[in-house]
Amino acid sequence: MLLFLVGIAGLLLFFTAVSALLRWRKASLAEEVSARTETWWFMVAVFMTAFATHRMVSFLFLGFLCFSALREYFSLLPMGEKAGDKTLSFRDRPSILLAYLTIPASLWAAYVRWYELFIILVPVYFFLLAPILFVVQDRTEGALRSLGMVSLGALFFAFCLGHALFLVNLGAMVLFFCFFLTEARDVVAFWVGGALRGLVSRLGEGTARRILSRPVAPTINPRKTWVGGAVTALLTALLARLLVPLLPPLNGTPVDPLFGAAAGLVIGVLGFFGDLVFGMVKRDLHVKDTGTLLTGHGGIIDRVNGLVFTVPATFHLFYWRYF
Amino acid sequence: MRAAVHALIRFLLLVVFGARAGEPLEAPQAIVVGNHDTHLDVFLLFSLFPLRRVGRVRAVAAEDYFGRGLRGLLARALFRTLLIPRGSGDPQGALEPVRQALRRGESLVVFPEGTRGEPGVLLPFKSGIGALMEEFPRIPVYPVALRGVERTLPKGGAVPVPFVVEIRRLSPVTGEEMVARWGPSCRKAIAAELHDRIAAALAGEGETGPSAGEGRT
Repeated sequence: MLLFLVGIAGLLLFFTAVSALLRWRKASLAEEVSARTETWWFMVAVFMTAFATHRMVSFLFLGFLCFSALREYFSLLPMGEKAGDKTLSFRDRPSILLAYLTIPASLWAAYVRWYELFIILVPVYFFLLAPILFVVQDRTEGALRSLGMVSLGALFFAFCLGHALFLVNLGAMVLFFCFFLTEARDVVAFWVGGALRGLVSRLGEGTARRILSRPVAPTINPRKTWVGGAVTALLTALLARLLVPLLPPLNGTPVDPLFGAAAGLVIGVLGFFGDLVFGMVKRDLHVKDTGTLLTGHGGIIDRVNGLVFTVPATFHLFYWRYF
Repeated sequence: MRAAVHALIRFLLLVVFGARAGEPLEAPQAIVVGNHDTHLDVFLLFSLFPLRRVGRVRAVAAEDYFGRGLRGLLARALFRTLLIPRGSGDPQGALEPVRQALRRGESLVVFPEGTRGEPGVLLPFKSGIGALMEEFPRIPVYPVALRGVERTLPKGGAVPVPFVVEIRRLSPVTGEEMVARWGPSCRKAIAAELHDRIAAALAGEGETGPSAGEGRT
């Protein structure tokens, strides 16, 4: 464990040094590497907190992460007098407040380990209370749109991301497994993408070139390809298999390496789509990145878009198999 | 004591609204001018000053609203409000307490719209700020665009709802510069210029403020 922590710390310091160097040289990669390095630092902080302190500290940390992401989502949507096509109404504010409140409610459910409550808090209670609130407000015009936009936020950032709280309950290493692989997937994707592009540029015109460079969603992100995604997912599964020995026995049972690899594959696939999904959302809202609408904020959604997808899946996989 | 309360307020503004002030204003005396949509605005503008100077900053407020009661008490305790009678018919006289504060070297937080108004709508600026800048031509005036704040607690709202709030401090102007550009007796032009700068920043055009340049792709 100590060796592992030292290894992680070493890796981080290396990346930080590389990032500083790139920034000094004003290389075009600097932004990307910088953002990744920061995310890694954050992740290590989360993990160390989860491992070394009382669960409540991790819960507060993760709860604040969910809150920040949810707040950023609601702030991306313009707000006007009437709910419009992609616009919230000022009258949506009470339901938005309610959405935020599901986070402390989830924190409590996680603290008392009441999973059955957590699992219905947002999808049932919040989802049904919001339209009741609207009825009491005597809403008609724009009600459907507002309900859709507000519920979507709650589901992504309070419910899905909130599963991280229960990952902590399963164990700090399981949380680490999920977070680490999700972020590692992004790094691996970066290299795989570069390698693939290099390969493609050396091929002539023809079917091979077409298959290798076929993007998943050209309008959303022309640089993400089916082949690139698949290769990255496989590499993530391999990385997961390598990490399995670090996982302690769960509920008395040692973790099966094949299961670990399968979980890694799932993370590889979902993490890939997480980025695309929020790319789609941003395109729909005509926003380039979630941090710049209000400058200097930080783009939380950009950093957790993979986690929103991988965290609930990882939780369920481990929960079903071992608990 | 006041500094401690303001420190706590700034922490809460950061956590709940993600609102950061950037580099504190170092000028010994300054006037900060902002758009007005909510009761949170004055807290946000005060956060631009260094904590140790917070006791020397005064908010200019309407006497009819902030003159009495618990509200008045809190305003006076937190922001050392200077009360101006609204619609008194004597614009020069009404500003006298403000002038005295400026002569004493104190800094100001001013909302030239004069009222919160409809959320997100920037009303024309009253010319009082122009008059003050003419009379005190050397004091730097910082126009500040508070972006996103109108969603948090619009007029009539009861509970502030968290949204991302950006405090965009624009480059300062002085009365001296304004008079050089518009000539003497230009209070209306000054007010309009400040209004337009803030309007541009609110719309996302114009200056991006000192903390810009950190956007990620």
